[in-house]
Amino acid sequence: MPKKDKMQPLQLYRYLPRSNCKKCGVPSCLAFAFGLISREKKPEDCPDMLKDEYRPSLDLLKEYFGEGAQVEKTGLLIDKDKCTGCGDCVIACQKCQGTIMFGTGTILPRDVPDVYKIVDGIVDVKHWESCKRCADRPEMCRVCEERCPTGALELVK
Amino acid sequence: MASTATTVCTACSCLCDDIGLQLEDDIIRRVENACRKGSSSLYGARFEQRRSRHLVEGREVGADEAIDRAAAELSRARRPLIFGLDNSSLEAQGAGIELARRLRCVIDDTSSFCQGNLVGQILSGALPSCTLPEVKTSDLILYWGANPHHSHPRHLSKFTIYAHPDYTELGAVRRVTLAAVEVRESETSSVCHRVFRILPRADRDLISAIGKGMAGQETSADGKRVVDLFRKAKFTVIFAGLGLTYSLDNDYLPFIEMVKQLSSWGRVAVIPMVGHYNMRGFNQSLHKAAGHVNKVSFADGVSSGDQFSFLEQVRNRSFDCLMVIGSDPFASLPKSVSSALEGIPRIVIDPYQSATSEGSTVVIGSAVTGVEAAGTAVRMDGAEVKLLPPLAPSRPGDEEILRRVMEKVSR
Repeated sequence: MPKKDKMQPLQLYRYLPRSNCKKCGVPSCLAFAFGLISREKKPEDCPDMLKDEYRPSLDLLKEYFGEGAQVEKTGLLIDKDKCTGCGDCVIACQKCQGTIMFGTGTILPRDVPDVYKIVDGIVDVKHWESCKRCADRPEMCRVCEERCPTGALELVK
Repeated sequence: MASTATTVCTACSCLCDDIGLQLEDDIIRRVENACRKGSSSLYGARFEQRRSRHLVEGREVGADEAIDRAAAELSRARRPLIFGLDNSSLEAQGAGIELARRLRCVIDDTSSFCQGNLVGQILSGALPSCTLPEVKTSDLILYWGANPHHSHPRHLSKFTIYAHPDYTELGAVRRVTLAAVEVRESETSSVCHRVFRILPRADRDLISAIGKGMAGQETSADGKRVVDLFRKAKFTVIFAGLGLTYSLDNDYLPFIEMVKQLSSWGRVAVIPMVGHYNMRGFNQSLHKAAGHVNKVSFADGVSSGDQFSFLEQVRNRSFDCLMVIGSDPFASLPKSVSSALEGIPRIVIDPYQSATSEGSTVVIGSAVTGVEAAGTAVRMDGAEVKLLPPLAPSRPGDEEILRRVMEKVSR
């Protein structure tokens, strides 16, 4: 259910000029699509998109990406309107990043503070440094995003 | 002055007891661990525009005058009806039942058109049940006709799958299974390991398919899959939601038969997904006092039946004075039904303004139980939880109001 609403890079690519002109500072339009998803780029960063022929695409992308989205250090984007504060991500993350599994199947606690906390009914990142994505050798864990029932969490990096 | 407190959330029947608060001069500044429903209910207690004031025929009065008028209306009435009490403490419910007994009137709550019958089956021992901490020893959790992510947002993370000690995000072996029987794709079904999609009102068909599958007869594909799931489980907990209740139309016999059959394979427990935080408390209190969970008349001793349900009473205009405590039936009743109540004196005891309190003869603003008033409530699994009000009361509590009304009622 959550992932259905999210636009994938190749879907985004179809709305872009596909000229690979590099004027936006990245090597290709597909790379620009990835940049849009990670919120490192804005639709208007592409000069061709400002032309009249791409106006409908620009409006659509502006509406989809909105304004002022803040990406957490873990690469997480929280849609506060969708979050119901169910706390599934808090506990799923606890069971994932808060533990370490050995080859024998033994699971031990990692003794690190929880990444998430529910504050005023909405999830908040409290200790980003506990996330496996921020470790010395990062692990691209997606448990919180996968367990979120409303699609409020999106890992964009 | 800033302070911190721990409280029990009364937004739903999960009654989460780990809610952290930061307070400043009796105002909540920060709520931790509560879901969106819970934090809204906690913040809402100090939202004065939404709170009820004491009113008599639309005129603002003092609490004493409103209580006097309520008692006078109840004394004058020949066949009053008391409805609600699901959002009140056990103590207030006890006072409400006592008042109904003294007035020799009908008493009912919202459970008569939702989970009351199921709670009744559990209280009478026809269906086995267990407590929420016991769910952590189960190996199959099945939500039937329920979407807790809407009704009880923290249900999965605090009591069931994510709180289960055997649930892990690491490794390939699954020791506990989460399943759902649903008519549509929902938030809960999106995170379940197994989902059984059925047509609306086809729950009875699935139950009979399971029965056939268990008896070794030819059955539907879904029936086979559910039977396989049940066969592997040592302890199954079924959370029965309103979807199941409405589909079975309150006739639980096939479901009870299925649970009995399943019990021969392993332990099975049923927990109703109760909505209001103390609906089960009302059912238990009334069961203890009158032997029935709802729809009770104290007119000639104690009697119970569908004719005493709120809907039937409204449809037949069987009462001449209505007292509603902490409930808003006008928000859910069809206009054709609620218009039948015009001209009947209405007394509303509610912390908040509602469609029911609008235009009522008497409105008595009460304290929000659990936020401003203390008491005890019963969780959906039947466990009693002591409420810890973090704020000072701005109005009298339900129990106090009901006891004061009782003192003044001339019967």
